[in-house]
Amino acid sequence: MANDTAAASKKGFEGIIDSIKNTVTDVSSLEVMTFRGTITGNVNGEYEWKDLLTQLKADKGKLTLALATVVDLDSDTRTFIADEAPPQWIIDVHTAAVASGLEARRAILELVTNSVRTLVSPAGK
Amino acid sequence: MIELDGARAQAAFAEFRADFDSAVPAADLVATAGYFAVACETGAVPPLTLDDKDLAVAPEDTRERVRAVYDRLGRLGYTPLHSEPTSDWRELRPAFSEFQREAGLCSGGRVCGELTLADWRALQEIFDFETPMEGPRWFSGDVPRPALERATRLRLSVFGFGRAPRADDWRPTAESMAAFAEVAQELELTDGPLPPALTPEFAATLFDHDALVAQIAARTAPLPASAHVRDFLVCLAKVELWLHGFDIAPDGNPALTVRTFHAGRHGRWSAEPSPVANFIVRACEDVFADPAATPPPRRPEEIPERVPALLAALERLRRDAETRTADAARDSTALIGRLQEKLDAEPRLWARIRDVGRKLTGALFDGVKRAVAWLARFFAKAVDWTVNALANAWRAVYHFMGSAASRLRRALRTFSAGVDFFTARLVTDTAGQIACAKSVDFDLRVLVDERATADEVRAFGVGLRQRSRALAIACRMIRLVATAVRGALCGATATIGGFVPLLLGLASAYSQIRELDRLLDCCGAELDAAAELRCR
Repeated sequence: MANDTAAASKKGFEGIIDSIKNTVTDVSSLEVMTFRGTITGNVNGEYEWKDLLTQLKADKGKLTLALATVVDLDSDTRTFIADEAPPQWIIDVHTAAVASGLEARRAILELVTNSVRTLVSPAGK
Repeated sequence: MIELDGARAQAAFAEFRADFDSAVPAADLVATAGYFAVACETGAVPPLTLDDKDLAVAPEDTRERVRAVYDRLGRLGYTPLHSEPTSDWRELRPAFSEFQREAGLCSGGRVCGELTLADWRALQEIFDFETPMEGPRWFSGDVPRPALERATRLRLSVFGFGRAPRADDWRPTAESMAAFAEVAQELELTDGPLPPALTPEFAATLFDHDALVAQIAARTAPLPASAHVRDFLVCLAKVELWLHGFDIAPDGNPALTVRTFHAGRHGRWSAEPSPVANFIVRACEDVFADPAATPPPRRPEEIPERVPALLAALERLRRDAETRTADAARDSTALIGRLQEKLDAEPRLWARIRDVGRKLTGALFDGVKRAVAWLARFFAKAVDWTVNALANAWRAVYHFMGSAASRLRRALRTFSAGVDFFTARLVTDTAGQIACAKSVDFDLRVLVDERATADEVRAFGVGLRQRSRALAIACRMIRLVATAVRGALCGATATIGGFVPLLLGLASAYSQIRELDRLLDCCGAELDAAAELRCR
């Protein structure tokens, strides 16, 4: 029984470590993908991405990856462009999404780091 | 309370009371007048008859006048002098009556004991240095009256010959009179030798103070080197200086050290000291010295040589003052005379003067009226300026408050948009043709329907970008609030930690507000232009 408890605790601890590792890995890079397709259903409902894909699949919609961009923490950037070059406005909205993601993430990180700094040095020195 | 003296006064008082209460018209006034006359006659009421001519030499106040008489009588030996002089005439009346009898003022059945103008003048003649003496009245035949003997003893003592009179010893001594006669002869003050006795010639020489001073001041011959002469000259100089207002008392002491009352200087107040006055002051300082100060630089035997010049300067100072007074009076008289002549010669001159006066008054009135009008305009303008300033201040406050409210509204709108974007999992356009799924770490999946137009897609991109900026601004707002809270806490503990953290916090908050305001200005316009997105 005790061995089971210890094993469970060890498994839970390793799960936390893995979760943090995954989160750090997620935060360390920004991934933006732009798809083109035919949305036959209504996307105005309460959907998340997976629900949206499920809905699209159920509606037999067609989905094509047009552009994909991965920006690492050290600003290394990798971009995927489909064989059939997307029109300019698709590139524009993809670029806007990348910039938006970068800016939002930077703002959140700055808020967190500033809060941590404030807690460490309450007098603001 | 009037003290009644004698049965006659008592009877008059009883009659006055009876008539006063009789209720007969005017009987009370007649009774009052009758009683007053009887009371004055019997001495119950002191009939002080000093008139305005006497006010120049006698103290005006009755109390001071009685004290002055007390001082004179005391110095003449009629009554002992006390440190606290009396002002009660009843105490002084016996001594004054004695003076009147000795001076021959009670002749002709006159009741003595009251101070009249004649009595005051008689007292001044034998006491005052500046009042000329009428010689014959002080002699009964060739015999001097006792009052004159007392005054002679006092005057000789002031000049350094003998002691002042006392109640039991007041006759002038033969030695002092002989000494004065000898000094008068040595100084050639009289045509011939003076007798060493109180004769009319002796009294005339002794009591004619102005003549004594004038003769010595005019003397050019060398002075005799006699001790009596030196002492007499020093005492005479003291008297003259005292009469001219210096704080040197005529004490009859030939000593050259005299106590001063003006910080070690024998001062004499003068608004504009003339050269003569300055000379006198210097000469006075040469001759006399304060006991606490250094002794006089000159030897005592040299002093008599300086006294005539000192007296001459004093005489010149007095003449100058008299001349100025006479000149002023003469000028005024001449001016009035010339004006009268002009008025007599030209009868219409007076009318012209009145016209000029009227015009002058009119001009003055006009000037006052203009000044009042100017003040009224000034205050009206001041009121206008104040009202305008208050109105402008109110406008500024109103504008500031309006601007602040607008900025606050914009900030809240931006904050709301940013928080919306942060919490949303899916962002779509209004037509539902473009969707953007967002994960916690801001990984994005953008889905564009084939039917969406290029403009719609571009607008969606701008809106997406705008939402991320709103989120950044919201984060800045949170940081600003945290800074403000921290600053408030530092301010609450400023007495412990000093004001530096508070100032730093305020400076940081101010800089962040400025930056935030700039971002809001940029973001607001773009937010309006961006496409409307739905965040869920």
